[in-house]
Amino acid sequence: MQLPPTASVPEASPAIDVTALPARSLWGVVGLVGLTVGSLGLAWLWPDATLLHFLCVAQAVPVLYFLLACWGTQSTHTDDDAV
Amino acid sequence: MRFKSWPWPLLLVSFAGLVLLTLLLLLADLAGVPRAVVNGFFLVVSIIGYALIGMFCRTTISEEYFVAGRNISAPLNGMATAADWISAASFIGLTGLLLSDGFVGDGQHPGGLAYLLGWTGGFCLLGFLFAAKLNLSQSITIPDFLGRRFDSAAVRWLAAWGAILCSSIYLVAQIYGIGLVASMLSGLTFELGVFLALGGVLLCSFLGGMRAVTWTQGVQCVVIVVSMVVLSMAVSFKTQGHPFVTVAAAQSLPQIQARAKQIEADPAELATRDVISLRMSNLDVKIAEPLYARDVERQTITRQVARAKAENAPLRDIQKLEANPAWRETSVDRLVSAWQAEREVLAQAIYRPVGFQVPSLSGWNQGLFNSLALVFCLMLGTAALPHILVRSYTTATPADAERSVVWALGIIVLVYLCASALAVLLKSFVLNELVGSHLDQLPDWADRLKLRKLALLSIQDYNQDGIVQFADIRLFNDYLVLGVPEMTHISSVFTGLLAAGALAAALSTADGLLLTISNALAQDLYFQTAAPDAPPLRRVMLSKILLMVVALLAAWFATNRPVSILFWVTCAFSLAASTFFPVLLLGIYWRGMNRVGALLAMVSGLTVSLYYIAANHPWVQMRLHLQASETLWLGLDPVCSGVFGVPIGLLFGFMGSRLSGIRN
Repeated sequence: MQLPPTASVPEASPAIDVTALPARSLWGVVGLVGLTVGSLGLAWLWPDATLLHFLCVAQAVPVLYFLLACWGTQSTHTDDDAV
Repeated sequence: MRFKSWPWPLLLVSFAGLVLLTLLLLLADLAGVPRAVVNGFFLVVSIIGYALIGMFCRTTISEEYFVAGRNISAPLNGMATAADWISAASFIGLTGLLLSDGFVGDGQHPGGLAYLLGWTGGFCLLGFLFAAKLNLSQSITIPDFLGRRFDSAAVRWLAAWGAILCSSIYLVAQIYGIGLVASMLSGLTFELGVFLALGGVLLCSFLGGMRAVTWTQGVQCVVIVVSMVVLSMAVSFKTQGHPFVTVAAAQSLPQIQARAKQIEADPAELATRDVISLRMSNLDVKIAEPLYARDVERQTITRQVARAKAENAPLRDIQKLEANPAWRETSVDRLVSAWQAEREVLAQAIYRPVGFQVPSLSGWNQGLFNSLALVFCLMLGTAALPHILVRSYTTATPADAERSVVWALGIIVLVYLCASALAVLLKSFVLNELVGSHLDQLPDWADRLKLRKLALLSIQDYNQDGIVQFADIRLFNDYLVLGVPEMTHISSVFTGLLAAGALAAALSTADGLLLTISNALAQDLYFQTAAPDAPPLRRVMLSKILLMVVALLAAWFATNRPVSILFWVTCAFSLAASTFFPVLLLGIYWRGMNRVGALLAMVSGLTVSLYYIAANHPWVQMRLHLQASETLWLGLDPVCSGVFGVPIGLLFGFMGSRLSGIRN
């Protein structure tokens, strides 16, 4: 089945480029998995340590996610990518 | 174009306006103006404000209507994404969930931490994997992107139906939330509340499409953040004398834990739990032999009613006897369903933690696997929800799309840090003020929460000792946070402010979902097949009409009151993850992925996920006489269906592409 000539987009849209995952993004995903499994594992390893659950997991991990996102999305693209 | 130069003034004006409105209503509250008037004012002003922005941003230009002209700055797009994403379930539900289920759950089911991590971590995935690539594609919808990537109308058609399904489930839950909040604020009936608030949604998204929705969501983001932060600071000030909410929660925790241990060892609490366990065993017997149990129970009720009438008992007592489902229900299925629901409530009463974790929870248990599975589904679902992904198209550059994800995550993290700390602070009110009080001398806030039109709390004295035990208390998690000002004795203006935030959260998400569904129907289904050469104006007009129809249909569904907002929202995440994550990941990063693989990935992922949710739904199990032990895989909750759907989708996508041999 052929797609009609992109009728929904009046202007010609750029071709969709398939590329490898940038190294920084890959490491970001690895960091995300490690941080998540590690923090939940920590919580289960000491199930009675509620203060630890609150401060280290409920409060610190979301902030670390934010920092990870800041780092992981840097310099994969520049503003020159504007199409 | 003219909007890009002034994002901050509008947002500053909205912030200043909200602060001014709150101060004015605070003065009105101090002057003795009735609470309903103060709360109603928040509702009316919010809806009028959002509708005005919608009218001001009205457009019929297709690029403006569908992708906001692709010129939204990263901060504004981040704010719009955050508002789009923070739904009624997460804004009003997360605090109640953490308060009720604790951090690590009960050893069987996931606790609040899984939601907290899944909902925030998903934005990292979105930023790392998809945001920039989607922006580069210059598409207008996710099905459009997939259709172009695989050069296949069938892929686009299937993706459109997938987007409609995921977004519709999510939308009904949001509109239900809108109805709850609007009826609570205005005193109107639930149904009228739904349609009143829907008017605001429609005025915004109908007139201005994505452009109006973006600007409205920017303002709604300000309302959401201000309301949650201000409320948390006020509660922190009330409990610990300073506004630093995390510090206040950390200060309260040791005392909460000590009190929880005391309650867990209290003989009255243990006796209550024994009574509840006995009732659960009785219900198990009744559910196993429903016809016999119904006959026995009816005979007992007949005797009790006859005796009550003979003794001239009050009509209320007789009605109470006749409200028993065994007396009332004619259908055995409905009777069993009522008993199962009652059993579920009893089970929650004894399994949920008194503090933030159940005592002597062994480290590695089913709860951990359920938590990890839920985090997986929520993260991948966040990164694959069509109404969130589509926001990557509205910025000018891929770098802006990525930066906007970081902005969104920062805002969401701020709201969730407050929500989790608020849960800790509220726990101390429940354990210290409510547990142990006499039923005739409940704290004033407990009486008010019980008697509200939308009850947030119920108490049943299971062991009949006249004292409230922890297991006697039932908190309605989904919207408990709306009762925070009453629980903590802060001004009732905060109720209005909080409800304005909740309304903003529900409206902003509903706006985004409505646009996604109507655009999928119009662009990806109708114009794709019936009128591919239609002019842009006709496309916009049809999208607007469909948006109106979808909104009304969703409102009608919502008035049937789905049981749990959180359950359906979580299912939508699993479905989105199973349908879109494999095809997007393989489609963007693997050259070998072709249209056969794409079709198989979407169909298999969605089918497995849908099957798992349906097969474990109590209604289906009752109809087909299935047992949960037969239908649960690895003991995982049905909301975690994405754990099976995503790997199956990836596998079928890979195998289909390899075996079909079609080259892109």
